[in-house]
Amino acid sequence: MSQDLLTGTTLRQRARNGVADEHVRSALRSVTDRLADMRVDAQESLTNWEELRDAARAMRGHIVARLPEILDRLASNVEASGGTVFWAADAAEATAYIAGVARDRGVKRVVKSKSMVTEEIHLNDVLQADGIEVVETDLGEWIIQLAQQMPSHILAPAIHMTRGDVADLFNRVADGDLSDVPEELCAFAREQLRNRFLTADLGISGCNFGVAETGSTILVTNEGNGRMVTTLPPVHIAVMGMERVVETWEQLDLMMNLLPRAASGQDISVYVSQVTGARRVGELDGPEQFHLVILDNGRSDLLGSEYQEMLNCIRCGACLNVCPVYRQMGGHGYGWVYSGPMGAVLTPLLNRQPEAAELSSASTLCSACYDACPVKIPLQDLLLGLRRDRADEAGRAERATWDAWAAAWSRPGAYRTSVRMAGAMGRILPAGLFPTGWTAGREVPRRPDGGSFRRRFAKGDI
Amino acid sequence: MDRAAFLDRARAKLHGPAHHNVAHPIPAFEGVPEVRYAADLSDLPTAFERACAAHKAVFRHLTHPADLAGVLDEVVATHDVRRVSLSRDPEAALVDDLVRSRPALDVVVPERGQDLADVDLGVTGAAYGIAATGTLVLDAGRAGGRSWSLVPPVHLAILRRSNLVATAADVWRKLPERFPDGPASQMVFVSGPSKSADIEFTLTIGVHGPRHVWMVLVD
Repeated sequence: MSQDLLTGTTLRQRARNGVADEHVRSALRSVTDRLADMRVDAQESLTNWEELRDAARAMRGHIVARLPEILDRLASNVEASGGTVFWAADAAEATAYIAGVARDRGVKRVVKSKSMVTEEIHLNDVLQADGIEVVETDLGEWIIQLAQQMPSHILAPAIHMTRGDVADLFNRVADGDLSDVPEELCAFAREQLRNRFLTADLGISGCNFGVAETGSTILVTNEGNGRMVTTLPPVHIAVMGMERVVETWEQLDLMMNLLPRAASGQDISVYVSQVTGARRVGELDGPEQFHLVILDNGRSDLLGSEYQEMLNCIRCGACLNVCPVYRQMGGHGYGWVYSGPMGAVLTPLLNRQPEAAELSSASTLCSACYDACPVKIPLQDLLLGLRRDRADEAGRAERATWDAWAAAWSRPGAYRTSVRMAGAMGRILPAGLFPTGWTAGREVPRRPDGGSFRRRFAKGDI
Repeated sequence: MDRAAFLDRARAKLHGPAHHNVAHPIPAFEGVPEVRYAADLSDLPTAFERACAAHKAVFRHLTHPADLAGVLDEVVATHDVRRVSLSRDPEAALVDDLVRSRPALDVVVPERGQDLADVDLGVTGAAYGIAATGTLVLDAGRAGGRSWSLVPPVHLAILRRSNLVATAADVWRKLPERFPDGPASQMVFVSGPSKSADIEFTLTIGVHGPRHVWMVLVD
């Protein structure tokens, strides 16, 4: 059962939990530092990185502005190559469709390659409720599935666990006696998951990009699990957020030069799978059926709004690694599948739980994320916009208070009265009585002993 | 939701003036610029070899297909290969007689991908090789399937010098020219052995895909 950390908690509580774990923080600092350094090195393997970022921002903007037309073309070409397209307005429609395919095919075992969008729609819970075994096959995802946790980094989901934690977990699952050497743990995962690949009835993947001109879906992995999932089971379902498209292979080339460099500092991922329809006659392997699920789930609400540019995001995770808030608080502080600056923007936009709104506060607005983003999304502008929206909505009572204050201080008599009262209050009340926590790191200002400026001025003391 | 309703909903939202970010305006899209590599790509085999070393594939450059016998024996000895299977790529046929002439080798002809589960070595060709990144372009249509380069723990790929190109753009941006019949059911770019860094960010080789990849360039 995947756990939603958002429900019933506050950002402050989750942040406190994240910050309290010194081990996790030091692991996070080390990994995010290395990823950020690797990204910079990889950028330097190209001589026109900045030109490419500018072009990518313009290109993603151009694509999103014409999304309906491009999706229409993608779908026509998927169907022309023998695939089936399902249009899912929300999580419920997407999961019901996938569960239906599983039922029709008598599926007992599903293998999945890492996909944030399927976490977003809680697909595993729905399939498991039907009695289906769902196996995450990305090593990090498998680890957190066994530990019943949420991913803490978009790229390295189990970044928050030590090798000792993983060894303990594997030993508990397998009743084994593994050491904490990563090679040994990897070999164990290979052996355990291999049989599941060979016997699965359905493979489910995400989709890094859909290419409209040929109806192809692109899947990027390093471990090879994405290839297994799209090769061995008799049915393959790819789930794609509706914004994850390019029109042409030329556009894909630009994206594929940016994505792995920004994500993991690689010039290219080990495997770039490019799937067009199901297996053809005479081929040894590959699925008999290919389904593409195109998911809205709140995304179309961003179209035409000031947050439309968030649909340009290609989910590389570069913004996480440079974010001073993410690096201290960790991914679980954000409470949902998406973390870091992109999560702080996307979560309140896609997840309408009231707890999500305050995520726009999980930022210093330093714009390090903007500098790291390969498609140059001005995340700080979007965060600021979300804060303004939240203040507009939540601030009716607060605004009334400020209006009263402004009215009072516009009149000398009322101003003098309020200052005298504030001074008296400040002497009487202990700081701890202020309820908001505002004084936890601050001193309540005290009036000087000689009285207010006005009084001392009148007495000739000043 | 049906297609028209889904697309109409998006269309309705897009109507009206596009939002303008005053602080950081979006530039107009004026086409996809060329991706320029810092590395020297003037000699493609040299660049390919350098990239293979970086992503930990074994590289061999042969001047004549007859030299494949030596490489095959080296792979068999290094990885203690008993069972071998060949894809239907034309380059894999170059070692067909060789593997059949080695009595110690069992040649497996699979009927489905799962049949390769206990095979030690998969041999494939490659439609193209990409020098800048040391990448094999594998085409499921050309190879007759996908599993030879995926399921066995050792993958030997034979690439013709004439199919070596400089960058991914030479494949992706020229797709209609390279693949006039449209893309295969699966095309996969392979750059080295399977890798993971999911446990404490320690690089480990061979999680799900092959642990060892041999890339052999034949003039």
